[in-house]
Amino acid sequence: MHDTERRSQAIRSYIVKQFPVARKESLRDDTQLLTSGIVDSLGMLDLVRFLEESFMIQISDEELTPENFASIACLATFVGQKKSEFEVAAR
Amino acid sequence: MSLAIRRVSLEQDREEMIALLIRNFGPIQEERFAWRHIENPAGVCWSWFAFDSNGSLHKAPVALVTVFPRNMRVGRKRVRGGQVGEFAVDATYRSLGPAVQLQKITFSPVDSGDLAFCYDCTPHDRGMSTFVRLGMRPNCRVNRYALPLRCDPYVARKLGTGAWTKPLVAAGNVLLRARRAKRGAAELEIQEFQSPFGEEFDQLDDAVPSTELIRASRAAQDLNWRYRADPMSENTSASGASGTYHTLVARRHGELMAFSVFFVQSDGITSIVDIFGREFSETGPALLDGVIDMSKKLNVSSIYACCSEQGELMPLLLRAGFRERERTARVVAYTRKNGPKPFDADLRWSFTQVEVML
Repeated sequence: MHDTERRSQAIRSYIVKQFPVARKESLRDDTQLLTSGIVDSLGMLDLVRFLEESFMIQISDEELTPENFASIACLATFVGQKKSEFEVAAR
Repeated sequence: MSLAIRRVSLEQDREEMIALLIRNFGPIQEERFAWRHIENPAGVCWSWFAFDSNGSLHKAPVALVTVFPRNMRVGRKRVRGGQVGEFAVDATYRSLGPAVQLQKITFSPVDSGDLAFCYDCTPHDRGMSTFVRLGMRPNCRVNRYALPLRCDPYVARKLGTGAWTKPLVAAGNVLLRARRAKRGAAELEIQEFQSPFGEEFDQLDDAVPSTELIRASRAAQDLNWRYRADPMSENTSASGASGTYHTLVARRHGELMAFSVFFVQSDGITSIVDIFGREFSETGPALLDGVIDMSKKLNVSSIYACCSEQGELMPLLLRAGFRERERTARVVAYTRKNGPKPFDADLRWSFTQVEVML
C-alpha cells in the first residue's frame, strides 16, 4: 500500500471513531471536514494531537489552516510533506 | 494560506473596519464607532486586521480583533486591563490556525506593558479551542440567572395563545407574583437616578472593600461613558437590543450606598447590567427588590442577571428567587510571562454583565 493511502486510512479511522457526525456521512477522501461541521475547532485540537503522536510530527499554529485540514486527502498530503521535511532535516 | 496581521488605523481604516464589523456583527456599528473605540476613558483601543498573505496587504481584510482598554480594580489597586472583542473571521478563513494567530496578537499590549493584563470572554466551549492550544485555562466562569415574573410568554410558546390558556396564565402569574416576600433593608431608600454620575460614585468605588476581588472600575467617568455617553443608549443596549436603560440608587441618610443599572428590553426582558455597592449583603437585595418592582410595573416577563461563580452577587440572586441557567462566558486572562504579575491566584473574579459586555 502507498504511504499516502496508508496515512489516509489511519486518519479516516481516527475521524470515524472520534467524531460522531462522520459516522452518519459517507466519508470520502475529499469530504469537507471543516465546512461540513464534522470537525469543529475543539475537534481540530484532538486531530492535531492524533497527527502529532501517530506520525511523529510537530504542527505549528501557522499550519492549522483550512487548506491543510480541509479533507482527509489534504491531511494526508500535509502529513506527507511534514514527514519529508523531517527526513530532510534529519539527514 | 497564512495570515499577515497589521495594526488598524482607526482613522484611515475606519470604513473598512465598520464594513467588517457589520458583516460579522450586524448593524449599529458606525453610530457607536467613536464612542466604543476612541472615547473610552480607559484609552483608545488596539485593533488588528488580518489579510490573506497570498494576496497583498492592500486587499480587503479577512479578519479583525480588538482589545478594548478597561479601567479595572485588582485588589484595591487601579489597573488598566483590556478586554478582547470584535473577534471576527470571514467564513472561508475560520479554522484554528488563524484564530490562534489573532488571539496571540491580542497579548501584545500586555507584553509591551501598556496593559496589566487582558481577558477574553468566550461565550461557548468552542471558543476555548485557541486557549487550549495556547495552554491557557479559564480564570472564571460567568453564568446567567433568570427570574420569571409572568408566565404568558412561556405558555404562549408551549401551548399557544388560545382562550383556554387564559385561566392557566392568570393562575401562573398570581403564583409568580406571590412567591417572594420583600426583604426590607433598614433606612435604605431606593430611587431612580437619571443624572450624570458624579463624585459620589468615585467615592463609592473607592469605599467598596475589594481587597480580594478583580472587578471593573465604577468610577464616575467609566459609568458616564458606558451609560450616558453611548450615542445609542437611549433606545439600544450595547448588544443591539432595543429598550431603555434605568439606574436605581440605594441611599442611607442621603449617602450613596449602592446602585444598579438595568436594561428593559422592548420584548419584556430586564437585564441587570450592573449592581454594585458597599454593605452589599444588605444593599444588594434591596436593589434587586427595586429592579423587580420596577420590572413588574413595566410588565416585564423575566429578569436576567449574570455573575461569576465566585462573585458576591450569586448568593443574593439565588435568595431573590433567580435560578441558574446557562454559562454565558468563560473568562481567560493573559498576563506577561516575565515580570511582576498584576494579580495572584487568591483573588476572586467578581464579574457581572458589565465586565463581560463590550
